[in-house]
Amino acid sequence: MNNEVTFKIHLIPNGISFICKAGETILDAALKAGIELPHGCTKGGCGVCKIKVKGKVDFGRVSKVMLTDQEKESGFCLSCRAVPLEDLEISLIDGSMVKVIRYDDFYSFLFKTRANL
Amino acid sequence: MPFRISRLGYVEVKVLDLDDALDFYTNVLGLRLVERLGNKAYLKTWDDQLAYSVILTESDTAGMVRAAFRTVDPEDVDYFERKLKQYEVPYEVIPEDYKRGKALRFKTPSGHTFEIFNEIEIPGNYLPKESPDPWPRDLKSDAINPPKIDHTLITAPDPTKMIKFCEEVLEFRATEYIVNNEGQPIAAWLYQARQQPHDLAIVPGREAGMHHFAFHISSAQDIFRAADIMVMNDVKIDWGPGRHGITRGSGIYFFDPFGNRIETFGGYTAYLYDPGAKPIVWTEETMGKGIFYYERKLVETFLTVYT
Repeated sequence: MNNEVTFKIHLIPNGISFICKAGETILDAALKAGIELPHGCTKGGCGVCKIKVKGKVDFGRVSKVMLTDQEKESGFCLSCRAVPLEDLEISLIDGSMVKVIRYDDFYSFLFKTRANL
Repeated sequence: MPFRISRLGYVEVKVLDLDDALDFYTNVLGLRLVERLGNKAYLKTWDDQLAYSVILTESDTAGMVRAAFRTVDPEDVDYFERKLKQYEVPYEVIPEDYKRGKALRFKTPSGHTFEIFNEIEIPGNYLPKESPDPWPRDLKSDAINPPKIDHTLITAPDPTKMIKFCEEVLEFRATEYIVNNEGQPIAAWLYQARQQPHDLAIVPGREAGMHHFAFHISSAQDIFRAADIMVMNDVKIDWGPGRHGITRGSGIYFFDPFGNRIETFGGYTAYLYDPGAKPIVWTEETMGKGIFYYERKLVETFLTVYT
């Protein structure tokens, strides 16, 4: 039995979904799924990983310059710090496609431990 | 012309949580806490003679508050006051600060707050003054323990103008430049009396941006040891261990828990730049190798990620 709480994150315009564990950041879950969301410092300081988000998230500890209160209200988050509180829909700010790395079975075995350190 | 600035004295950096910051800066990086006062903490490296070299300030953003350069002699502060007047740079005289005397505080054309000071308490490093051993016996065995602060790299919307300001008004001298196709310097590595590759470096970017500040690490072996400690503590490494073509330094770029980039820098680097020696020049074609020697190209985060 696996009672672990997970959330589904739908990525547009790619039209694909991936699973995020409770407490895991959007960026961590995306990178584990081979979805190359842009990111920088991964500590909420540089703002490079800002994305659009629909759905409730815990924004985490972020720089108020890089993610303003107004941006939080209007559907933006920093993916490196944001933790889903329900199923989400996300997209890049410019709406472009996100690069997705598809590993074959062998490589997916090698890469499945990948974490966003 | 004599050198009138000795080196980078201290940087003040914003952190989102002072408790977490102190845990990282003392236990992982291995700085010593001098004193915590309100929302600020003053820290120093084990070989620093001056009262402190890093100030952490709790804030709601990351990034640099100020960088302070210490003059060689007390009179040099007056010299720079005349110089700031001459160039019509608005400045404030700050009569005193924590364990420090008078400082001139002003904004650079890049929007950064700089200070020039001389008087500061000099408690000495963590070694005895008489017959010292080469390093303190009580260094934390699983911390990085850099001996000293080294330099800071900042970003400027008009780097050519900022470089000129630092050279003309603050009398920095260049060890190395990146020049554009018109021959204009768009990035510079600038030194003072220490005559080491850089106390201050400037690259193009946002106003008042801090790309990183750096601690000196003596050997490449110690840089690998620092990398081990970063991995042991899940520290986000941005680049390295690697080598810069510019400065020849080995280094690691990594982030503090709030996204401020720090570098451990050194190894086979410490060339002495003799006053009068011509600066080294890199071009837009070769700058990839200049910044990241082994990769021979800029990693994307170099120009986009900073606080």
